[in-house]
Amino acid sequence: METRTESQHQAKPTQPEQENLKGTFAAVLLVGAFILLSWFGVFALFLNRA
Amino acid sequence: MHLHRYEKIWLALGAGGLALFIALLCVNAFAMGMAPPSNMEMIDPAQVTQTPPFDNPGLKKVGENEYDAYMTAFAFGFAPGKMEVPLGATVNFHVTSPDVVHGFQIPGTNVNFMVMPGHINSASYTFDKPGEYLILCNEYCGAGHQVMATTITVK
Amino acid sequence: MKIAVFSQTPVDRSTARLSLSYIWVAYAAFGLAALAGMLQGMVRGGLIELPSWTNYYQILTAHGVLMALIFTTYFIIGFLLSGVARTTGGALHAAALRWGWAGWVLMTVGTAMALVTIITNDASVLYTFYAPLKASPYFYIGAALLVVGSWLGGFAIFSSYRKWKRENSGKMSPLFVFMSVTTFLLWIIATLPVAVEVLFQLIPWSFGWTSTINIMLSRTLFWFFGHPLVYFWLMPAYIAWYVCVPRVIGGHVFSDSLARLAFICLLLFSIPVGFHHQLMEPGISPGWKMIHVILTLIVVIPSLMTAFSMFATFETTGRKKGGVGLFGWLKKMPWSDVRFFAPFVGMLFFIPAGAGGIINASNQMNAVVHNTVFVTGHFHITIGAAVALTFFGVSYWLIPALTGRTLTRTANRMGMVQTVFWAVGMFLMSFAMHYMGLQGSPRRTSYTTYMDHPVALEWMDYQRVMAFGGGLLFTAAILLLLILGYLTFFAPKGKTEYPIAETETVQHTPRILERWPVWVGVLVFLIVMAYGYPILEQLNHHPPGSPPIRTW
Repeated sequence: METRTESQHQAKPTQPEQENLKGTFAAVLLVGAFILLSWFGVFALFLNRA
Repeated sequence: MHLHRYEKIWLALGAGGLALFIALLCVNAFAMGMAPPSNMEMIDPAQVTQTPPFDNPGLKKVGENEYDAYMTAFAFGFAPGKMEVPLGATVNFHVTSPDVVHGFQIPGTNVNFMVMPGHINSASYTFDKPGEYLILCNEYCGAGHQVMATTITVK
Repeated sequence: MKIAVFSQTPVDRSTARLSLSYIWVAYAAFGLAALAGMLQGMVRGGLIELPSWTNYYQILTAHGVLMALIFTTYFIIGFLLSGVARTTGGALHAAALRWGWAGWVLMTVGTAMALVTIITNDASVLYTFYAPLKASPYFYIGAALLVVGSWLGGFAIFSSYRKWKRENSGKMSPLFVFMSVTTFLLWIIATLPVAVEVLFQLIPWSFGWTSTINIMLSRTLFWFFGHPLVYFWLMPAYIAWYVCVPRVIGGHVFSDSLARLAFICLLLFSIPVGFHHQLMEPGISPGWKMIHVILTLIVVIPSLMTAFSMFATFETTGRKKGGVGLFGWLKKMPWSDVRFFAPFVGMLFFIPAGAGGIINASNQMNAVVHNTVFVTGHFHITIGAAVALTFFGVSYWLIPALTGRTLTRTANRMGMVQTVFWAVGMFLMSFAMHYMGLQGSPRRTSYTTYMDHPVALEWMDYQRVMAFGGGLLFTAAILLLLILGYLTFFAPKGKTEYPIAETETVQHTPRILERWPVWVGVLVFLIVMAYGYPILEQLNHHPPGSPPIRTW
């Protein structure tokens, strides 16, 4: 796909690698933790009720 | 296509987590016998009241402290209503419907399954605690859906 | 892609009129549905009793149909048509406009038919219309017209896409267009099974031309449709998140390829998964249920990708604006701009929403939550918060952009208030629903204490919280309609931007992502694998069918 900044085409590796995404990584790990905790919580409830 | 290192790690962790869920569910369902209610038996819905054992809904003792409960779910009640079993009894519920789709749920337990006309569905539960357990219909079945319930008392 | 500058609107008058016609029917339905929802909450909370000429299940049917089928489908077509026009030169061509209007007429006739049958209490079957509950045949015909009409809206998008590709041969389509095409490919494939159910099973049976119906098959066909239905709702919200929100915050599309890849994955894995809505049903083996569960959990992955992309977009933009530290970039977001704030709150809701969805789909674990209000809580935070708040946030700029007016500072501020009311109401209501659901409180059930059973009495406090939340939501709904009415008819004239973000640098997107025959081929393969044998079994090995039954 060509964008309107094609004149600024860079020979470097693509844009994302130069970015500082530590905050993103922390945020998604928090999301992942929420998913894990809630899933195991209900799984425990399920096993307990059996 | 280029992925940032953190995205690769995140997706690997995500896929790994999901794989873990699948593995646990498979072991629990297939090795520990806790697969969801999936009875494959069929019945003529127009003949339910004449087809044994549903022609005589009730509890049948089949073991030391084990019972088969053959029940019908209909608009708007369950037969039999108000059952009673001794403490520690294992009850195997087998339910069908002569009319529309109903649900069969005992809140606080894992007994929760769909009752579809033409099909029989089942679940088992061991009543380790005494009390009056509510059995309710949790699938919309008409104007009286909210009164469709009964109880099973464990003494 | 530069757009031609039309005086005060980013798309031409014909496109704007078509788009607005869809959007305003959507909001009319939304208003009625919001009223119905509030009444339901009040009934379940024990606060009111309905008059004798109506009943809870009639109102519930209206709420479900209007919110989940009418509001959504109309808004989606209106929004997507406008964005396709905006990114392909500023106007829909004649053929697309014709498809779009034809679709609108068919859908509106169908909606009116279905609504009449709901109002006369001849279709109190809820929006899932499960057999053997029999509605008036005109309810099903109305539903069929709604679906076929929506296909015509899809053809308008495909037609625009084909024209753009012809005029720009060799180029990848604009991201908004690509995502719209994917959304409608999903929709058309997903609606085929429900069209079969409605046309070949329900309509003949409800007219009395056939005497019985295969219930198992009808449910399987419905849920073959019912799961991708929710992705049909989600994907337009994702379009706003990927393409519009980055521009609103002064940033860029993070990764063009990953965005397209996410949409292809959504297309592939949101369809062959319907058994996760049927986990507690007889007649489907545990093996097949588990296969669908595995496919369902795979569809979580494109959403995990989306979460990463969203945070990455915010972080890269925030850091450029001077944000430092692990989360300092968050402070640099335009928090008082409702065009960002509303969708962002939607994104936050999507975290517990997605978690709840994974729980619901987890095979035997579903026994804890099946048919309880946990499920109701789940779908209220998915479509009722993540998607709805995004649609509201889009409407705040889309409507003035289309009507040639401005989103004034006051309207923006009122929009912020509306967003907060909606979010607080939804949070309270859905929290109560999730909690009560785990205790076994059933969904789709009118007020009851099951003869004062202690278990049911314990739920009453939470049902009152639900009612309170519902009241806040209704207030937010009224406020929304007032603001949107203002933006349509009374706001000062001016130019409102239609925000479309681009990537910051040139990104090379693999062409294979746009080779539709490949992906549709893979999808058909997955569908045949997941549904072929089970459906054949249900056709060949089934109990005697059921006659039509009316229990209300």
